[in-house]
Amino acid sequence: MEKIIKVKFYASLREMLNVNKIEVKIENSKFISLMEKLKENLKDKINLIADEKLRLKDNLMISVNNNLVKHSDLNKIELKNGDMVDFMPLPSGG
Amino acid sequence: MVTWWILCPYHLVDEMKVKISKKLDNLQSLINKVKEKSKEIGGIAVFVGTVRGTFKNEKVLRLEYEAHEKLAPKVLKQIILDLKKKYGIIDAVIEHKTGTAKVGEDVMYVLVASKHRREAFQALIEAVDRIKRETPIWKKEITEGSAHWVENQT
Repeated sequence: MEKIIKVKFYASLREMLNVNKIEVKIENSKFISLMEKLKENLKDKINLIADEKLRLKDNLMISVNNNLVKHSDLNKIELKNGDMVDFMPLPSGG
Repeated sequence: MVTWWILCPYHLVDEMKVKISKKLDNLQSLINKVKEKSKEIGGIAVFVGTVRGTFKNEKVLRLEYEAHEKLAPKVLKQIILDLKKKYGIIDAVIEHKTGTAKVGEDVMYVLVASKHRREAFQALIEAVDRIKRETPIWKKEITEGSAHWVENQT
């Protein structure tokens, strides 16, 4: 069943991609499906967030519904319709 | 200041205080509030982060802070929980500014209250390091010659 995922980009990532929020439709619940759809949307700029195998870059953080997800757990998450996935650069506050 | 203290759910649940906002509370009032938490408090270590006026010999005009407003407070709350467990501190407060900050302006307050100074200092250093490393807050530095997002230094 098709799921709509709300994706948001933050700070430098938002400016480099020139995208704030997008909604992506995926066919299954896998994170890789989201990345494949993002590749269709972002085209060449996908390389700002992922490598050639669509693995998330080390210098990014991900949250799903406002909960941080470790990179090593991304392939375990089951995305649901309406989930919010946030892509963030590493912090630089203080 | 009074408003957030009363309304902050963390205050009601577990006596922890975190705030991400365009306006920081008055520092002295934060110190006074922390002092009221326990008669056991023997010291409060305080870190005040301010906006530096230069970047690589360039004059800084201002900083622009952005935060993940839902996630950042959760991370700060977890930091306080961890420090309480690790160092046995009595209480802590963390506030971080968002939006525009001019040179010299306070942008972060970290207060750690404990029975003795040693654990307060240790917890304070770790708190500041973890805030900078783990909390989804980002700053853009606007100098006379450029505007750039500051990269993670850790």
